[in-house]
Amino acid sequence: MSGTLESLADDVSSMGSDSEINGLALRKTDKYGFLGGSQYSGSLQQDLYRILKAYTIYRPDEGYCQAQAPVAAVLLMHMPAEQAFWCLVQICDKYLPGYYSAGLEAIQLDGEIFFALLRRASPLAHRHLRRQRIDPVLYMTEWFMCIFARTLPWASVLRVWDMFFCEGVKIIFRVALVLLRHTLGSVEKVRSCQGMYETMEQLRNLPQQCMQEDFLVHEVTNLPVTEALIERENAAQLKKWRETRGELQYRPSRRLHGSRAIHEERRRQQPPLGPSSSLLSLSGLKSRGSRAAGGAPSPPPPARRASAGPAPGPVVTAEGLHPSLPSPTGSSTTLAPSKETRRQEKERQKQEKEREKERQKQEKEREKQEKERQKWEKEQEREQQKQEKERQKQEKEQQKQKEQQKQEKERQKQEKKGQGRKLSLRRKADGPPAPQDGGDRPSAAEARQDAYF
Amino acid sequence: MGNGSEEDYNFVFKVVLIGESGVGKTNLLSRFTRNEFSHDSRTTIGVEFSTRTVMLGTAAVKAQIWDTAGLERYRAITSAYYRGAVGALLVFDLTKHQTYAVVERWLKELYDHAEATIVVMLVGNKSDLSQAREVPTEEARMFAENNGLLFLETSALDSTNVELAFETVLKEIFAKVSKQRQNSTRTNAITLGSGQAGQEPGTGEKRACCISL
Repeated sequence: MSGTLESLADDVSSMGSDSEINGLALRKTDKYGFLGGSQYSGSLQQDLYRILKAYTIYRPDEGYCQAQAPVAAVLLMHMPAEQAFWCLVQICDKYLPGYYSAGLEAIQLDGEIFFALLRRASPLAHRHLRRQRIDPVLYMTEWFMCIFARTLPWASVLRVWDMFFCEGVKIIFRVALVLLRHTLGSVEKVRSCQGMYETMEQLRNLPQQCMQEDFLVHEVTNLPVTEALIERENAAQLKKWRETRGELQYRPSRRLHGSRAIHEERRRQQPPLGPSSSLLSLSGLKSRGSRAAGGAPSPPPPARRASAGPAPGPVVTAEGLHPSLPSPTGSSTTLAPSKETRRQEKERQKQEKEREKERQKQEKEREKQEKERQKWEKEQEREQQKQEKERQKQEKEQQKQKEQQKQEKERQKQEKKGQGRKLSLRRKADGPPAPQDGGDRPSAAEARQDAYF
Repeated sequence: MGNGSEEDYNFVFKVVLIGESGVGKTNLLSRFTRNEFSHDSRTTIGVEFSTRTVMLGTAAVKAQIWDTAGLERYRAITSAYYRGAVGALLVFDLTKHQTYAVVERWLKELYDHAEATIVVMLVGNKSDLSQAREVPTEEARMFAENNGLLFLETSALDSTNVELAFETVLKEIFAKVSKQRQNSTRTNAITLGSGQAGQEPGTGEKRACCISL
C-alpha cells in the first residue's frame, strides 16, 4: 500500500475482484461501506483498504495518512473491519488528535514535548541529541504515529497497545523514553555514537533487550511520566511554538488520556443507555487476561465477536472499564515501591479532582450559555410579538381605512340611491321601502362613529 | 568504483531521496545499498537511511542516503531531513505523469531547505515498465537540462542505471569538493569534517560529519 489517496484508489485494482463485496455494499452497507455486525468480509488486505477509505469518507477534511495503515492493520488482526474502523476513528479523534492531519503539527509538538521530558528521564541522551542537532521528528515520527507497531516485537506491541488504550498517550511517551534511555543513556553508548548518522542508526536499530515485553513493561510502569506532566509540558511547548512559529494551522480537539477519560466524556455528553451501551471489546489485544484489560470505547454497536474470527484468545469485553479497574501500568505492586504507588495514587486523585473541576467549569459554562440563549430567545420572541402587534395594528388601521372608504362610498351610493328612491318614492309613494335601507343605516352610522377614533 | 570497507572512508556525502509517494525511492535505496528489491515494500513513515562506501579514484566516499515519506503532509517535518545534504535524487515514476508534473514543486522545496550548491539528479524510475510509460524521456531530459539537473532513467527492479545514478551524483559532488579544496585556502566556502581526504584510513575518529559545499 503506497501513499496518497490516489494511490489508495489505484490499489483497488491490485486487490483482485471484489465484485461480491461491492454487490453487498450496494444492498445494505452504511455510508462508510460497512455491512454492520461483525462479519469478516474476505481478505484482510481488502478490509484494510476499506477501513482506510472509510476514514477518508468519515473525515474528508483529514483524508488518508500513510501511518494510519499500520495502526488499522493491527486493529484488523483483532476484530472485524467495522469495529476496527471505529477503533481507528477513536484513536484518531480522542487518543491522538491531529497526529494524522495535514502539517503533522501534533506530531511535531509531541516531539518537542518528548524532548523536554527526555531531559528529565535521561539527561545524557538529551544532551547528546541536542549536541548533534537531531530533531525529535527524525526518529520519533514512526514510533508515535504507528504506536510502535513497526518498532517493537509483536508481544511488546500488544502489551503497549493494551496500556495505551487504557491510559492514553502517556504510554507512548514512556515507551519512547525507555527506548532512548537504554539506547543512548550511558556514557559508553553515547561515545559509540560519534556522529549524527551513527546516532540515527542506533535509534533505527534499538537494542533487542530493551524492547523485550517484560523488561519494557516493567520500565514503562516505573517511569513517573503522568498525564499532568504531559499536559503541563504540552502547555509550555505550545507557548514556545506560538512564540517562535506563530499560531498552529490546525487545532485538534482535546486529547483524552485513555479509555476512562473517553468513557467519562461520553457519559457527560450523553446519559448512560443501560447495559447495552457497552464499550467495544478489544479482546484479541488481550494477551494476558489476568494482567491487563485492553479495550477501546467505540461509538458504534456493542462488540459481538464472530466465531470465525482469526484472533485467538479469551473474550474480554471492556464493559468493566471502570475507575476502580487496576491499571496495567499501576497494578504491579512488586514492581512499584509503595511510596511510588501512593504518590501515583495521590497524583491520580489530584488529576481526578482537576478533571472534576474542569467538568464543573464546563458545566457552568454550558449553563451560562444556555441561559444566555434562552434570554436571547425570549428577547427575540418579545421583539417578534411587538412586531406582530405593530403589524396587526397597522393592518387594522388599513382595514379601517378601507372600511371607511367603502362605507363612504356606500354612503355616497346610498345617498344617491336615497335621492333616487326619494324620487321614486315620490313616484310611487305607496310602495314598500327597499329592504337594503335598514341594513345600510347602521353601517353608515358605524362609519361615522369610527371616524371619531 | 567499488565497495570500500565500511570502516574506512575519506568523505561522507549526505544524499537525500525525494519525490512523490510510491515512485520507488525506498527501493532505489535498498537496491543501491543492499542490492535488494521488494515488490511489496511498506510505505515509509518518517525517515529511513542507509549507507554504502564507494571508491572514487583513490578516495573512499561514504554515501549516506536518506529516504523519507513522499506524502504531502510529511513535508512539514523534512526541513531537518535536508540539513547538511550535498546531493539529491529527485525521483519520479515514469509510468505516472502526475509524479513528474510536481517535480518543479519538489525542486522548490529542495532549494528552500538545502544548500544552493546541492547536486541534484532528476531520476525517472520504473524504466522496466516501458509499455506503461507516461513521461517521454526527451521531455524529462529537456526539463533537467533547463533546470541544471543531471538526468537518468532507472529501474530499481532490474537494477538498470541504479549504480550509475548514485555514482554520477557522488562523482559530481566529489568534483565540486575537490575543486573547492584546490581553490580554497580554507575559506568559508568549504567546511570539512574530521573525515578528511588526508586522513589515514582506519585511523582517527570516525565521524559522520557531512561536507557542506
